[in-house]
Amino acid sequence: MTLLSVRAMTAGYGPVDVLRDVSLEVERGGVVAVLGSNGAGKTTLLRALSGLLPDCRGEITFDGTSLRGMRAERIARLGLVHVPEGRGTFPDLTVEENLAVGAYLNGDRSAARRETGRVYELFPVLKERRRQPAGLLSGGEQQMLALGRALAGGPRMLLLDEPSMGLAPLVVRQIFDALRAVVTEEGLTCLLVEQNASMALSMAGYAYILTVGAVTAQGPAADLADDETVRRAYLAL
Amino acid sequence: MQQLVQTLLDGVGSGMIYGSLALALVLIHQATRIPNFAQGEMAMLSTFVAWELIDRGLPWIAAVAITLALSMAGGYGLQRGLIRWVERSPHLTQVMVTLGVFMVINGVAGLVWGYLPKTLDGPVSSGSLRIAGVTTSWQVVGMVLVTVGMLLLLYLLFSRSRLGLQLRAAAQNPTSARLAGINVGRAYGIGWGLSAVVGAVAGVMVAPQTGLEPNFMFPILLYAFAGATVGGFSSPGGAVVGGVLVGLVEALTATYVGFIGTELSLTVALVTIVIVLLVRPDGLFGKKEVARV
Ligand SMILES: Nc1ncnc2c1ncn2[C@@H]1O[C@H](COP(=O)(O)OP(=O)(O)OP(=O)(O)O)[C@@H](O)[C@H]1O
Ligand SMILES: [Mg+2]
Repeated sequence: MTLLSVRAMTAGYGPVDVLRDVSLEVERGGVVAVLGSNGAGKTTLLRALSGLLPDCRGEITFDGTSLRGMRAERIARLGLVHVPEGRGTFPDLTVEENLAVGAYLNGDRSAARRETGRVYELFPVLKERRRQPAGLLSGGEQQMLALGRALAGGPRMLLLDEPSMGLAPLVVRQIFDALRAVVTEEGLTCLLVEQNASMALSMAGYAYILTVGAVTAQGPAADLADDETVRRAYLAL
Repeated sequence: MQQLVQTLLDGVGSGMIYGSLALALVLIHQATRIPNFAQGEMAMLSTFVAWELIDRGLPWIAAVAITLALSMAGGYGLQRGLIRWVERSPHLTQVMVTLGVFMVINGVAGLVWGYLPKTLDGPVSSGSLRIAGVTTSWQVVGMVLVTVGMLLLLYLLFSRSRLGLQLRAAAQNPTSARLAGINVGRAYGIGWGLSAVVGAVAGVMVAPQTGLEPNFMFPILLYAFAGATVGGFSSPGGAVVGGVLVGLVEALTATYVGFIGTELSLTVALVTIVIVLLVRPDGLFGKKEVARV
């Protein structure tokens, strides 16, 4: 069953169209990767999906609801939660408070407590530093916090913008292990945007390739990982 | 000795007023990064509303409660109706807009209520109180209690409540706040509403001493800006302390430095600002301001 479907979407900033006629689908419980080089429009795609670009055209439906013209905060409350590029934590709030802000998306307090506990289980370092301002965390910890804040709200689907960006390989593995755990154990649906193609393809079931604002290739992740042109362009092999 | 204690008490009394209005300024600045020059006039308007309600026969406490509710709504409405349109404008534009609001409120209040000072009663008797040879008034005691109480309530709101956390999140990173389901526009409106309430409290506290007329908040606004600058625009508690410091400096110099008297006390406040800013550019309690991109 399709959870998110995008049909013929065109989006950009002001008069400049960055995305042209993009269509894609994400199955419930599936992980879909979007690969593309710098400036291909990956971030723009996620911003359009989460309602941050008010004048995007095309049809977006999430779980049967049309997102056309819907404001970002309402889309988040539907459970479609965007973890932005560059993490976007609240620097003067403590780790605990950052997670609390995310957890308000839960319907009730017991769910909020449960989901927050789950985040601390996934990332014990956040629990150790829960009373520190988020601005003092390392880059990797900030990414954990950004992901944790989204998870604390009990999302139905995550939009992840380059969670591996600028992080050491060990930290990247930690974050992807946690992500894999929620995906396999809870069946969380993800749209994962990455430049780290091998990491993304190893997690995803299906993938799209975005080149200067248009989808130029798509297919099961395993097939794309074997494809010669994809390997040369995105896996640096 | 007695005179010193007396002077200090007076300083704390007026300092609490400056501190309250400084707190209102900091709340708005924290939420929307706008220096609100209309803050004093908003407080003046609120005070006139309270006066009008009392004049029409409402008991003091009911009149003030209604005034605070109206101030909340008015601050919210002002942000949603007007200020939101200059949220992304250059600083100078924002300053001009708040100065415009200043003049409109001032003019309207003059038209409606005239320029003859009116008397606003306080909630307590204006009688004085003698403790250990020092005379103070119930009003000063009341002001200290009210300001401390208000500060405590705001502290609890911003550190413990869901609304408070959401307001802080919206101020720090509006985009991330929206992605966390927060209606950022509403949060900014509530920030302005809260600060209108804080300003209204200051106005109602000070009017019994100064008399109520359309310009009565103007000098207080200047002292409040001094207090907020001294304490640091990023620190609500610091703003109150800064306001009290300005009040103390004002009272001490007026009493002990003969040639200053009351005429030059405003100059003293400005000199205090300059000295503090030279030593600590972000105020005594402020954090380094990171430029917004
Ligand atoms: N706020 C903006 N205003 C105008 N143009 C923008 C804005 N943000 C991005 N662009 C342009 O849109 C295009 C796509 O940018 P986008 O950030 O979506 O790419 P990306 O695939 O996420 O790249 P990266 O891998 O560097 O994150 C680029 O040409 C960029 O210059
Ligand atoms: Mg990007």
